[in-house]
Amino acid sequence: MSFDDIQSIWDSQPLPEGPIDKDGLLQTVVDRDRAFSRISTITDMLMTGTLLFVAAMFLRDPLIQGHDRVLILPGLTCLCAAGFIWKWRIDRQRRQIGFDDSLIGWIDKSIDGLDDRITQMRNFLWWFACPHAFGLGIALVIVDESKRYLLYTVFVPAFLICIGLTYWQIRREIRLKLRPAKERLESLRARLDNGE
Amino acid sequence: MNRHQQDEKLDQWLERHKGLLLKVTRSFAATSHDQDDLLQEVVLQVWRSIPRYTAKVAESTWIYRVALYTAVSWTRKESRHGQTQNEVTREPIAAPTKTDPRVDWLYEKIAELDPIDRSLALLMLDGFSYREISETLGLSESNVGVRLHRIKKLLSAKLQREGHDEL
Repeated sequence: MSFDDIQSIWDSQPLPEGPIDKDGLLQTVVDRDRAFSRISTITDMLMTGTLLFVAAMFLRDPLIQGHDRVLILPGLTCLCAAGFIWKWRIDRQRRQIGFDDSLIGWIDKSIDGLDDRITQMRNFLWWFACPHAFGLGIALVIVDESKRYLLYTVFVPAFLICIGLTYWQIRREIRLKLRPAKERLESLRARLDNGE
Repeated sequence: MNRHQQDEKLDQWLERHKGLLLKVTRSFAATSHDQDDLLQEVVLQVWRSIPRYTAKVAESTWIYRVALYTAVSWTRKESRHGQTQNEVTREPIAAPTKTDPRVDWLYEKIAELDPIDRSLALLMLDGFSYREISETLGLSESNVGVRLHRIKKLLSAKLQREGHDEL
């Protein structure tokens, strides 16, 4: 018995006759593709949109009514952060095209995608929380005394709770999902490199 | 390429290469439920890859690349979550068409290999050259040669050992 016998067993299998439900598969494909791209786009758009909205809020009084000009600073910080998030998204999409189409190339592409996600999540505080915290800090200085209690009782606690919970969830997501997935791909990559 | 053209291309590829896709899913997933799940994942990735496809490589090579990558990733993900009965307690596979027991035996032996060797074995059995295999998997030709030699020896030994009793 030799490998030729194995080859002849393999070659003897009949071609399957129409077991694939093409219409059903195509529909699944379209649905799943929409779901995947929707999550990524929604995350980026939500972050950018929130930053643009907050920037507009900061800039409204100084630009339209001409007072509290110091609020221009946090407004511009939010605009820069929003631009940076969008540029990050475009760079990621460009980089994804550059990988070759071998198995190793596909693995590298997936690792890069995971790295990008982990870095984006870790940088969340800089991109998202810092501009908001900056604006909140300035608001504490210039706020009308009659409304100061609102900052202490509503805005500051809400900000701290939201950012704290989001940061906890981000760390959990990285620890439980992204990092293990990246380690699996890296070990697969290493095994391909080492020829094990 | 617009969406309609992409869908049409997928339709053509599924018609022409369904055998290839089913071979890959059958080698990487044990139960018919898992095979359906993997097939959906593979077809999704194949559909996504259509805009990047150029005629520099054969359609079958391209589809094999995408299918194997997806299957390897799927196997590792699924086995981690313990959702597949792959390798340890394989259930009888619901074959897509009636096959003889020798083919079932061969699929079982292929499934016992690790995912990378499984990919190599499939490409080798489907007649791909060392160069095509090395391009598909991103390995050097010499590495492919060494691995395939080992796989051939392993499968032949299993056939020698078990073949007389089981087949």
